[in-house]
Amino acid sequence: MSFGFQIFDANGVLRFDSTDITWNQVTFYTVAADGSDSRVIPQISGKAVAIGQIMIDPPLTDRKATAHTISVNGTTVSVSGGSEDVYIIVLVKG
Amino acid sequence: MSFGLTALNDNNEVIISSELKNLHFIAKLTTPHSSESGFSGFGGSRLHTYRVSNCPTIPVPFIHMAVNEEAGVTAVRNVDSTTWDIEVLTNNHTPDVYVFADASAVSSGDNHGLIVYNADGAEAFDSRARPLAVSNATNIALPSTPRSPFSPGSLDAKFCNANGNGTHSTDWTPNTSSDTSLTLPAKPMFFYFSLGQAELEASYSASEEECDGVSTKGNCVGFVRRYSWTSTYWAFYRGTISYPNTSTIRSQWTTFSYDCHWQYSTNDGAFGIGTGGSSSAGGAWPYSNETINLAQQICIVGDASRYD
Repeated sequence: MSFGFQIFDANGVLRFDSTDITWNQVTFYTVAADGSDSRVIPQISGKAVAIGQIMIDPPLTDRKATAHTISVNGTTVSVSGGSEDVYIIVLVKG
Repeated sequence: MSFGLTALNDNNEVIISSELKNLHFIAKLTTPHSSESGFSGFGGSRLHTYRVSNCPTIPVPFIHMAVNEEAGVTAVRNVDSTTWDIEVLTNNHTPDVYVFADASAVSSGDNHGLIVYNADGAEAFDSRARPLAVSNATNIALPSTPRSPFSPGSLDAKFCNANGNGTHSTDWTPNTSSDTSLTLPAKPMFFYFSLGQAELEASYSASEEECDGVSTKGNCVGFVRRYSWTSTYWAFYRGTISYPNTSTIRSQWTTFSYDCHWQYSTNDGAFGIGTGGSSSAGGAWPYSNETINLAQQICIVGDASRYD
Protein backbone atom coordinates (compact mmCIF):
# COMPACT_ATOMS: atom_id res chain seq x y z
CA MET A 1 0.00 0.00 0.00
CA SER A 2 1.28 3.48 -0.81
CA PHE A 3 -0.55 5.28 2.02
CA GLY A 4 -2.45 4.44 5.19
CA PHE A 5 -1.25 2.14 7.90
CA GLN A 6 -0.66 -1.54 8.57
CA ILE A 7 -0.25 -3.26 11.94
CA PHE A 8 1.62 -6.58 12.07
CA ASP A 9 2.03 -9.11 14.85
CA ALA A 10 5.37 -10.50 16.07
CA ASN A 11 5.35 -13.09 13.29
CA GLY A 12 4.90 -10.49 10.60
CA VAL A 13 1.27 -11.38 10.02
CA LEU A 14 -0.91 -8.43 9.07
CA ARG A 15 -3.50 -7.90 11.80
CA PHE A 16 -5.26 -4.72 10.79
CA ASP A 17 -4.83 -1.97 8.23
CA SER A 18 -6.48 1.08 6.82
CA THR A 19 -8.29 -0.88 4.12
CA ASP A 20 -10.32 -2.65 6.81
CA ILE A 21 -13.89 -1.84 7.71
CA THR A 22 -15.21 -2.35 11.20
CA TRP A 23 -18.02 -1.63 13.61
CA ASN A 24 -16.83 -0.30 16.96
CA GLN A 25 -18.57 -0.84 20.26
CA VAL A 26 -19.67 2.30 22.05
CA THR A 27 -21.28 0.73 25.08
CA PHE A 28 -23.37 -2.13 26.36
CA TYR A 29 -25.90 -2.15 29.16
CA THR A 30 -28.89 -4.06 30.45
CA VAL A 31 -32.54 -3.11 30.35
CA ALA A 32 -34.86 -4.94 32.71
CA ALA A 33 -38.01 -6.80 31.79
CA ASP A 34 -40.93 -4.36 31.58
CA GLY A 35 -38.43 -1.55 32.16
CA SER A 36 -37.25 1.29 29.99
CA ASP A 37 -34.05 3.20 29.39
CA SER A 38 -33.24 6.41 27.58
CA ARG A 39 -29.72 7.77 27.36
CA VAL A 40 -27.68 10.22 25.34
CA ILE A 41 -24.70 8.60 23.59
CA PRO A 42 -22.66 11.40 21.98
CA GLN A 43 -20.33 8.98 20.14
CA ILE A 44 -23.09 7.90 17.73
CA SER A 45 -23.43 11.37 16.27
CA GLY A 46 -22.97 11.31 12.51
CA LYS A 47 -22.32 7.58 12.33
CA ALA A 48 -24.21 4.51 11.18
CA VAL A 49 -25.62 2.89 14.30
CA ALA A 50 -26.36 -0.78 14.88
CA ILE A 51 -28.04 -1.72 18.12
CA GLY A 52 -28.12 -5.36 19.09
CA GLN A 53 -30.69 -6.61 21.55
CA ILE A 54 -29.98 -9.96 23.23
CA MET A 55 -32.44 -11.66 25.50
CA ILE A 56 -30.62 -12.76 28.64
CA ASP A 57 -32.75 -15.67 29.73
CA PRO A 58 -35.80 -15.97 27.49
CA PRO A 59 -38.43 -18.58 28.28
CA LEU A 60 -38.48 -21.68 26.15
CA THR A 61 -42.10 -21.90 25.06
CA ASP A 62 -44.21 -21.31 28.12
CA ARG A 63 -44.36 -17.54 28.12
CA LYS A 64 -44.64 -14.82 25.53
CA ALA A 65 -41.26 -13.08 25.24
CA THR A 66 -41.73 -9.67 23.70
CA ALA A 67 -38.65 -7.82 22.50
CA HIS A 68 -38.05 -4.24 23.54
CA THR A 69 -38.66 -1.48 21.03
CA ILE A 70 -35.49 0.48 20.26
CA SER A 71 -35.47 3.95 18.80
CA VAL A 72 -32.67 6.36 17.97
CA ASN A 73 -33.38 10.08 17.88
CA GLY A 74 -30.23 12.10 17.26
CA THR A 75 -27.87 10.89 19.96
CA THR A 76 -30.61 9.56 22.24
CA VAL A 77 -31.18 5.82 22.34
CA SER A 78 -34.47 4.72 23.89
CA VAL A 79 -35.39 1.17 24.83
CA SER A 80 -38.76 0.08 26.22
CA GLY A 81 -41.74 -2.20 26.03
CA GLY A 82 -40.13 -5.64 26.28
CA SER A 83 -41.07 -8.42 28.64
CA GLU A 84 -37.55 -9.82 29.09
CA ASP A 85 -34.22 -8.71 30.53
CA VAL A 86 -31.95 -7.82 27.62
CA TYR A 87 -28.43 -6.72 26.87
CA ILE A 88 -28.19 -3.74 24.56
CA ILE A 89 -25.00 -3.44 22.51
CA VAL A 90 -24.44 -0.19 20.64
CA LEU A 91 -22.10 -0.37 17.63
CA VAL A 92 -21.13 2.40 15.22
CA LYS A 93 -19.49 2.67 11.84
CA GLY A 94 -18.40 5.73 9.95
CA MET B 1 -10.00 15.53 19.52
CA SER B 2 -7.74 16.97 22.21
CA PHE B 3 -5.98 13.71 23.02
CA GLY B 4 -5.84 10.10 21.89
CA LEU B 5 -5.82 8.66 18.43
CA THR B 6 -8.17 8.34 15.51
CA ALA B 7 -7.39 6.23 12.48
CA LEU B 8 -9.47 6.30 9.33
CA ASN B 9 -9.78 3.71 6.62
CA ASP B 10 -9.75 4.27 2.88
CA ASN B 11 -13.43 5.23 3.02
CA ASN B 12 -12.66 7.92 5.62
CA GLU B 13 -14.45 5.90 8.29
CA VAL B 14 -13.13 5.74 11.85
CA ILE B 15 -11.71 2.28 12.46
CA ILE B 16 -9.60 2.99 15.54
CA SER B 17 -10.57 5.64 18.04
CA SER B 18 -9.69 6.39 21.61
CA GLU B 19 -13.35 7.41 22.05
CA LEU B 20 -14.72 4.02 20.96
CA LYS B 21 -13.93 0.38 21.63
CA ASN B 22 -12.77 -1.94 18.90
CA LEU B 23 -13.94 -5.51 19.09
CA HIS B 24 -11.17 -8.10 19.30
CA PHE B 25 -11.06 -11.82 18.61
CA ILE B 26 -11.23 -13.75 21.89
CA ALA B 27 -11.95 -17.37 20.99
CA LYS B 28 -13.16 -19.77 18.34
CA LEU B 29 -15.59 -22.27 19.85
CA THR B 30 -16.09 -25.43 17.80
CA THR B 31 -17.55 -27.66 20.51
CA PRO B 32 -20.64 -26.71 22.52
CA HIS B 33 -20.47 -26.79 26.30
CA SER B 34 -23.83 -28.59 26.20
CA SER B 35 -26.48 -29.45 23.63
CA GLU B 36 -30.12 -30.42 23.72
CA SER B 37 -30.91 -33.79 22.15
CA GLY B 38 -32.37 -32.26 19.00
CA PHE B 39 -34.54 -33.82 16.34
CA SER B 40 -34.55 -34.22 12.57
CA GLY B 41 -38.29 -33.80 11.96
CA PHE B 42 -39.97 -30.39 11.63
CA GLY B 43 -37.05 -29.28 9.45
CA GLY B 44 -34.51 -30.22 12.13
CA SER B 45 -33.62 -28.58 15.41
CA ARG B 46 -30.85 -28.58 17.96
CA LEU B 47 -30.03 -26.03 20.63
CA HIS B 48 -26.39 -25.65 21.62
CA THR B 49 -24.82 -23.71 24.48
CA TYR B 50 -21.26 -22.49 23.94
CA ARG B 51 -19.25 -21.25 26.91
CA VAL B 52 -16.56 -18.59 26.73
CA SER B 53 -14.23 -18.03 29.68
CA ASN B 54 -11.78 -15.27 30.66
CA CYS B 55 -14.07 -12.66 29.16
CA PRO B 56 -14.75 -9.83 31.65
CA THR B 57 -17.08 -8.01 29.26
CA ILE B 58 -20.03 -9.01 27.11
CA PRO B 59 -19.08 -11.34 24.24
CA VAL B 60 -20.14 -10.45 20.73
CA PRO B 61 -20.65 -13.79 18.96
CA PHE B 62 -20.34 -14.43 15.22
CA ILE B 63 -21.59 -17.75 13.85
CA HIS B 64 -20.10 -19.67 10.95
CA MET B 65 -22.14 -22.50 9.45
CA ALA B 66 -22.03 -24.36 6.15
CA VAL B 67 -24.12 -23.35 3.14
CA ASN B 68 -27.87 -23.75 3.76
CA GLU B 69 -27.46 -24.53 7.44
CA GLU B 70 -29.63 -22.41 9.74
CA ALA B 71 -28.48 -20.70 12.96
CA GLY B 72 -29.26 -17.81 15.28
CA VAL B 73 -28.10 -16.68 18.72
CA THR B 74 -31.12 -16.94 21.00
CA ALA B 75 -29.63 -15.95 24.37
CA VAL B 76 -26.47 -14.78 26.12
CA ARG B 77 -26.12 -15.43 29.82
CA ASN B 78 -23.54 -14.25 32.34
CA VAL B 79 -22.36 -17.34 34.29
CA ASP B 80 -19.88 -15.48 36.49
CA SER B 81 -17.77 -12.34 36.25
CA THR B 82 -15.66 -13.69 33.36
CA THR B 83 -17.73 -16.58 31.96
CA TRP B 84 -20.60 -16.36 29.50
CA ASP B 85 -22.94 -18.85 27.85
CA ILE B 86 -24.03 -18.26 24.28
CA GLU B 87 -27.13 -20.16 23.19
CA VAL B 88 -27.40 -20.99 19.47
CA LEU B 89 -30.41 -22.55 17.76
CA THR B 90 -29.69 -24.60 14.63
CA ASN B 91 -31.59 -26.92 12.32
CA ASN B 92 -29.58 -29.81 13.82
CA HIS B 93 -25.92 -29.10 13.07
CA THR B 94 -22.96 -27.74 15.04
CA PRO B 95 -21.71 -24.34 13.88
CA ASP B 96 -18.49 -22.62 14.91
CA VAL B 97 -18.81 -19.57 17.14
CA TYR B 98 -16.21 -16.81 16.88
CA VAL B 99 -16.27 -14.65 19.98
CA PHE B 100 -15.25 -11.00 19.98
CA ALA B 101 -15.18 -8.52 22.85
CA ASP B 102 -13.73 -5.15 23.69
CA ALA B 103 -10.05 -4.87 24.56
CA SER B 104 -10.58 -5.51 28.27
CA ALA B 105 -10.87 -9.20 27.38
CA VAL B 106 -7.57 -9.32 25.50
CA SER B 107 -4.87 -11.50 26.98
CA SER B 108 -1.56 -11.69 25.14
CA GLY B 109 2.11 -12.00 25.88
CA ASP B 110 2.99 -10.53 22.49
CA ASN B 111 4.95 -7.27 22.76
CA HIS B 112 4.50 -6.17 19.16
CA GLY B 113 1.75 -3.98 17.80
CA LEU B 114 -0.31 -1.01 18.81
CA ILE B 115 -2.44 -0.33 21.89
CA VAL B 116 -4.74 2.68 22.06
CA TYR B 117 -6.11 3.82 25.40
CA ASN B 118 -9.16 5.95 25.96
CA ALA B 119 -9.55 8.81 28.43
CA ASP B 120 -10.15 6.61 31.47
CA GLY B 121 -7.08 4.50 30.79
CA ALA B 122 -8.96 1.47 29.48
CA GLU B 123 -7.76 -0.13 26.29
CA ALA B 124 -9.78 0.82 23.23
CA PHE B 125 -7.68 -1.03 20.66
CA ASP B 126 -5.08 -3.75 20.96
CA SER B 127 -3.58 -5.21 17.81
CA ARG B 128 -2.18 -8.18 19.74
CA ALA B 129 -5.66 -9.68 19.62
CA ARG B 130 -6.93 -9.68 16.10
CA PRO B 131 -9.31 -6.71 15.78
CA LEU B 132 -12.66 -7.33 14.17
CA ALA B 133 -12.84 -6.44 10.51
CA VAL B 134 -16.20 -6.79 8.84
CA SER B 135 -17.18 -7.44 5.25
CA ASN B 136 -20.69 -6.16 5.15
CA ALA B 137 -23.86 -5.48 7.12
CA THR B 138 -27.55 -5.43 6.41
CA ASN B 139 -30.91 -5.44 8.14
CA ILE B 140 -32.71 -8.75 8.15
CA ALA B 141 -36.48 -9.17 8.19
CA LEU B 142 -38.18 -12.47 8.94
CA PRO B 143 -41.10 -13.87 6.94
CA SER B 144 -44.44 -13.04 8.58
CA THR B 145 -45.17 -16.66 9.38
CA PRO B 146 -43.16 -19.90 9.50
CA ARG B 147 -45.51 -21.72 7.14
CA SER B 148 -47.70 -20.57 4.30
CA PRO B 149 -50.28 -21.90 3.81
CA PHE B 150 -50.72 -23.56 7.18
CA SER B 151 -53.37 -26.21 6.58
CA PRO B 152 -52.43 -29.30 8.56
CA GLY B 153 -53.97 -32.69 7.86
CA SER B 154 -56.00 -34.70 10.29
CA LEU B 155 -54.41 -35.79 13.57
CA ASP B 156 -55.66 -38.01 16.37
CA ALA B 157 -57.85 -36.06 18.78
CA LYS B 158 -57.29 -38.50 21.63
CA PHE B 159 -54.51 -37.91 24.17
CA CYS B 160 -52.07 -36.41 21.66
CA ASN B 161 -51.50 -39.85 20.23
CA ALA B 162 -50.04 -38.38 17.03
CA ASN B 163 -47.56 -36.05 18.78
CA GLY B 164 -44.45 -35.82 16.62
CA ASN B 165 -45.64 -38.27 13.98
CA GLY B 166 -45.13 -37.82 10.25
CA THR B 167 -48.14 -35.59 9.64
CA HIS B 168 -47.38 -33.40 12.64
CA SER B 169 -43.75 -33.07 11.55
CA THR B 170 -44.39 -32.51 7.85
CA ASP B 171 -47.30 -30.13 8.18
CA TRP B 172 -45.52 -27.95 10.75
CA THR B 173 -42.13 -27.84 8.98
CA PRO B 174 -41.31 -24.18 8.15
CA ASN B 175 -41.52 -23.39 4.44
CA THR B 176 -41.11 -19.62 4.20
CA SER B 177 -37.95 -17.57 3.77
CA SER B 178 -36.79 -14.11 2.81
CA ASP B 179 -33.61 -13.41 0.83
CA THR B 180 -31.33 -10.39 1.04
CA SER B 181 -28.62 -9.84 -1.55
CA LEU B 182 -25.23 -9.19 0.00
CA THR B 183 -21.69 -10.09 -1.02
CA LEU B 184 -20.26 -12.61 1.43
CA PRO B 185 -16.70 -13.88 1.86
CA ALA B 186 -15.99 -17.52 1.04
CA LYS B 187 -16.19 -18.38 4.74
CA PRO B 188 -18.68 -15.95 6.23
CA MET B 189 -19.48 -15.45 9.90
CA PHE B 190 -22.62 -13.69 11.05
CA PHE B 191 -23.51 -11.50 14.02
CA TYR B 192 -27.24 -12.07 14.32
CA PHE B 193 -29.44 -12.20 17.39
CA SER B 194 -32.66 -14.13 17.03
CA LEU B 195 -35.60 -12.26 18.51
CA GLY B 196 -38.46 -13.44 16.29
CA GLN B 197 -40.75 -16.04 17.81
CA ALA B 198 -43.69 -17.86 16.28
CA GLU B 199 -46.08 -20.61 17.20
CA LEU B 200 -48.50 -22.58 15.05
CA GLU B 201 -51.15 -24.82 16.50
CA ALA B 202 -54.20 -26.81 15.47
CA SER B 203 -56.86 -28.44 17.62
CA TYR B 204 -58.74 -31.65 16.90
CA SER B 205 -61.83 -32.85 18.76
CA ALA B 206 -63.77 -36.11 18.92
CA SER B 207 -66.66 -37.46 20.98
CA GLU B 208 -68.29 -40.82 21.58
CA GLU B 209 -71.34 -42.07 23.44
CA GLU B 210 -72.02 -45.41 25.10
CA CYS B 211 -75.65 -46.30 25.78
CA ASP B 212 -76.48 -49.10 28.24
CA GLY B 213 -80.20 -48.72 27.73
CA VAL B 214 -82.29 -48.50 24.56
CA SER B 215 -81.36 -46.16 21.76
CA THR B 216 -84.45 -44.65 20.22
CA LYS B 217 -84.08 -42.31 17.22
CA GLY B 218 -80.53 -41.50 18.32
CA ASN B 219 -81.48 -40.79 21.91
CA CYS B 220 -80.37 -43.06 24.72
CA VAL B 221 -83.07 -44.14 27.15
CA GLY B 222 -81.36 -45.49 30.26
CA PHE B 223 -77.78 -45.13 31.35
CA VAL B 224 -75.39 -43.21 29.03
CA ARG B 225 -71.73 -42.23 29.08
CA ARG B 226 -70.43 -39.48 26.83
CA TYR B 227 -66.71 -39.03 26.14
CA SER B 228 -65.00 -36.07 24.51
CA TRP B 229 -61.38 -35.43 23.59
CA THR B 230 -59.47 -32.42 22.31
CA SER B 231 -55.80 -32.43 21.34
CA THR B 232 -53.93 -29.26 20.37
CA TYR B 233 -50.77 -29.96 18.38
CA TRP B 234 -48.22 -27.18 18.09
CA ALA B 235 -44.69 -26.19 17.15
CA PHE B 236 -42.68 -23.20 18.32
CA TYR B 237 -40.14 -21.42 16.13
CA ARG B 238 -37.32 -18.90 16.38
CA GLY B 239 -35.92 -16.73 13.62
CA THR B 240 -32.59 -17.81 12.11
CA ILE B 241 -30.40 -17.03 9.12
CA SER B 242 -28.61 -19.12 6.51
CA TYR B 243 -26.85 -18.48 3.20
CA PRO B 244 -27.63 -20.47 0.03
CA ASN B 245 -24.60 -18.96 -1.75
CA THR B 246 -22.03 -16.21 -1.22
CA SER B 247 -24.29 -13.48 -2.53
CA THR B 248 -27.40 -14.10 -0.44
CA ILE B 249 -28.41 -14.10 3.22
CA ARG B 250 -31.64 -15.94 3.90
CA SER B 251 -33.86 -15.47 6.93
CA GLN B 252 -36.26 -18.17 7.94
CA TRP B 253 -37.84 -19.87 10.91
CA THR B 254 -36.29 -22.87 12.62
CA THR B 255 -38.31 -25.17 14.83
CA PHE B 256 -37.37 -24.71 18.47
CA SER B 257 -39.79 -27.21 20.02
CA TYR B 258 -42.98 -29.12 19.37
CA ASP B 259 -45.51 -30.83 21.59
CA CYS B 260 -49.21 -31.30 22.21
CA HIS B 261 -51.80 -30.56 24.90
CA TRP B 262 -54.87 -32.76 25.45
CA GLN B 263 -58.13 -32.58 27.35
CA TYR B 264 -60.49 -35.44 28.11
CA SER B 265 -63.90 -35.37 29.76
CA THR B 266 -66.78 -37.76 30.49
CA ASN B 267 -70.39 -37.03 31.28
CA ASP B 268 -72.67 -39.72 32.64
CA GLY B 269 -76.46 -39.68 32.63
CA ALA B 270 -79.51 -41.80 33.38
CA PHE B 271 -82.92 -41.25 31.82
CA GLY B 272 -82.00 -37.74 30.75
CA ILE B 273 -80.58 -36.67 34.11
CA GLY B 274 -76.87 -35.93 34.50
CA THR B 275 -75.22 -38.11 37.13
CA GLY B 276 -71.72 -36.68 37.10
CA GLY B 277 -68.56 -36.60 35.10
CA SER B 278 -64.86 -36.02 35.21
CA SER B 279 -62.15 -34.36 33.18
CA SER B 280 -58.40 -34.47 32.87
CA ALA B 281 -55.69 -32.80 30.85
CA GLY B 282 -52.05 -33.31 30.05
CA GLY B 283 -49.19 -32.45 27.80
CA ALA B 284 -47.45 -29.15 27.27
CA TRP B 285 -49.22 -25.94 26.36
CA PRO B 286 -47.66 -23.30 24.11
CA TYR B 287 -47.72 -19.66 25.06
CA SER B 288 -49.93 -18.38 22.24
CA ASN B 289 -50.79 -18.80 18.62
CA GLU B 290 -49.02 -15.81 17.11
CA THR B 291 -45.83 -14.41 15.62
CA ILE B 292 -43.96 -11.67 17.50
CA ASN B 293 -40.75 -9.60 17.39
CA LEU B 294 -40.68 -9.10 13.63
CA ALA B 295 -38.74 -5.83 13.72
CA GLN B 296 -35.68 -5.91 11.45
CA GLN B 297 -32.45 -7.07 13.05
CA ILE B 298 -28.94 -6.03 12.11
CA CYS B 299 -26.74 -8.72 10.59
CA ILE B 300 -23.02 -7.99 10.44
CA VAL B 301 -20.83 -10.23 8.28
CA GLY B 302 -17.14 -10.96 8.71
CA ASP B 303 -14.60 -13.27 7.14
CA ALA B 304 -14.18 -16.23 9.50
CA SER B 305 -11.00 -17.44 7.78
CA ARG B 306 -9.23 -14.35 9.08
CA TYR B 307 -9.61 -15.69 12.64
CA ASP B 308 -8.82 -19.39 12.04
